[in-house]
Amino acid sequence: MGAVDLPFARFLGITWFKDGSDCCAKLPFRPMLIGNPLLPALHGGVTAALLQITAQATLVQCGLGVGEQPPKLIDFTVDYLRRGQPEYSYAKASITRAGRRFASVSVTMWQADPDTPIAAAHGHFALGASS
Amino acid sequence: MGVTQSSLGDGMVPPDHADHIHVAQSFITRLPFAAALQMQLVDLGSAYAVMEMPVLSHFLGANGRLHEGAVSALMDTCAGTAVVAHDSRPLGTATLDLRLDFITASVQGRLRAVARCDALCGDVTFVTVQAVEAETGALVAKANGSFAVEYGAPGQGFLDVVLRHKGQGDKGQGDKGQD
Repeated sequence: MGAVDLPFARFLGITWFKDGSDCCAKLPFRPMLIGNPLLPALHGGVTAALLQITAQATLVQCGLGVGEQPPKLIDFTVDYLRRGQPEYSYAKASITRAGRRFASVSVTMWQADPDTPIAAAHGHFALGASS
Repeated sequence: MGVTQSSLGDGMVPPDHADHIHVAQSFITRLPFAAALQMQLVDLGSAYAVMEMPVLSHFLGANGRLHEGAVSALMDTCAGTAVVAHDSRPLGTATLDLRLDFITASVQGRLRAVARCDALCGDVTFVTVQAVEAETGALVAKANGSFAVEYGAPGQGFLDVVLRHKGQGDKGQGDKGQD
């Protein structure tokens, strides 16, 4: 994907793959991503970051954002639905609406079963057009 | 929400407050992702926590600015720590939802989060968090979330464990649970 190169996405280990025409994020498990070592469970911050990066990358993939300026996150709401297991995680975003200045994006994250999301989020981005 | 204010209720925190923070920090360091982001506990009070993390090059997003995901991670961890610092002595907590507003991402130096539980209703608590640039106090993000509160056997809460290990050469076994 590479349209937007984020050091924090590299730090987490996020890679990208195509599902039909959709762009999906893949996050391999690493012990560093654990928030609760006793369960164990993924850290909530890992979940939030994967969802945010997926939403942002999906907008870039669709050519939204102005020039070199990637879409800027305004607000983000995450619902934590299930405990994140120590295994591969995936995320996919869908753009609810993209206008000239703002976009609204929904994202879901799952692990073994795409029909069993572990988190769902919704966020707003500024696309960079002058306000 | 005062950034430097230490809102300590019920005389929970005695004069050896720094020892509490030191022991509690050792539990937070055992959360691998908190350790990876070099999160540090700065203050701990009744249902109140202050944490910081450095702005490092691998935490950046676009344009050399701190990535919102790193901001979210600190705010989530700080909120969870405020929950387990509640007077009802929870064992652990899990985030149900977190709603974040990002005001600016141009942070230099260190990012500080200040979290407070506003109310606890049964096994759910509501937390507000602010993230500021540590040096200037400039507002970076604000968030509020709801958290599930988990209780263990009496005397097994996070604070119970912290108090027990204080003065024992920090031999805690990591009872703290937090997603």
